[in-house]
Amino acid sequence: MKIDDIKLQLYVDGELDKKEHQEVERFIQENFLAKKKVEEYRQINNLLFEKYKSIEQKNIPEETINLLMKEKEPFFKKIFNYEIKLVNALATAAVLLIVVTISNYNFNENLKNLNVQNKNSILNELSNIIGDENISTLTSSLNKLNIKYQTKKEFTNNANENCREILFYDFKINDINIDEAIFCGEKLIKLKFFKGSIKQI
Amino acid sequence: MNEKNKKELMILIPKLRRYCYALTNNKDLGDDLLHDSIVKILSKFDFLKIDNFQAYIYRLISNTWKDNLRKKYTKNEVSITAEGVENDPALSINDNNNLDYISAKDDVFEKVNNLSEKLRETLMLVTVQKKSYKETSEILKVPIGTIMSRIHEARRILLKNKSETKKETTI
Repeated sequence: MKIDDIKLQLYVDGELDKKEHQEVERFIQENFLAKKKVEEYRQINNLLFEKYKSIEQKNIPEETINLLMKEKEPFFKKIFNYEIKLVNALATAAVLLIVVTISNYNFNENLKNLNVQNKNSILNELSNIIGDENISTLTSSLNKLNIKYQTKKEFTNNANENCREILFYDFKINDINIDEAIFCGEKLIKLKFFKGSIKQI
Repeated sequence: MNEKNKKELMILIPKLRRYCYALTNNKDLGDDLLHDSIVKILSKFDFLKIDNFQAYIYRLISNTWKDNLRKKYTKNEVSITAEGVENDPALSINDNNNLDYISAKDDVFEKVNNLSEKLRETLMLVTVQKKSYKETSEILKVPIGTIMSRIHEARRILLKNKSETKKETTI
């Protein structure tokens, strides 16, 4: 086995298997420079560990603990105006190619029906909020439902996927109103929704 | 945040706090970083599927730290020094009065402060948090080989600088 600096480093950090560990141990017994190097590596480890180890349990700030204890924030507050941003953060990565701006949204014209895959993507994301159980009871009825939407924008992202930003017309799950979504390919990238009858301005 | 994650977070807080101190090298800034990171964790709404919660938290702390550093540079504030830590009795090393050891300690700490963000976070995870290379690679989302190189590079810098300082002193 070739024993170089990297191997000595792995030895010090406990990253070698038993056999290799023993081989390095024998090697450093016979090699002064290697032994010195190992001691230096260990000294660095010990210095850094010793410096911070004593503080972890002392006087943990009360406000930080309270933050966790008081975390049971009202559901409404958390859900209101919430936007999810999944993979491929569009804001930073998207290259806008085609922008179809609809100045006056008229839901009575050119409405399309959401496909099953898109519905399921939205349901999957919402399952974290209203719970898997509630979602599963709704899935079949929602899949039968014609969910109307209109395309606000179409563009391609940096992965060269076709993306569309869509506006929903009267899409509700329990008391959650689904407002807008962005799909790239069939993947859900962003979802806007609000709870109850108060809509984001 | 679900209850399971919340309990895990409560248990982890002391260790996370140590990591925050190790990154910032300052007690108050460390506590601020911990607090900011927990606020961020709590504001996440469980949409993102988190496979490895612990790795996720460590990564979030690292990213928050780097964001804070960038904001700091933008504002042209004075860089953090080890002063806040060295004056804190809780952080002092009491069990070794050897002068060479103390000298080496000062030198190493100074050089650690000058390590790049990537080298520093990697070194702290392995040496202070006692994370394995695999765990560290999961936290930082880089290959194990990169972790190995970063640790080696960090140690090389710390040791090189140490010997250079000694040479300069001798001359």
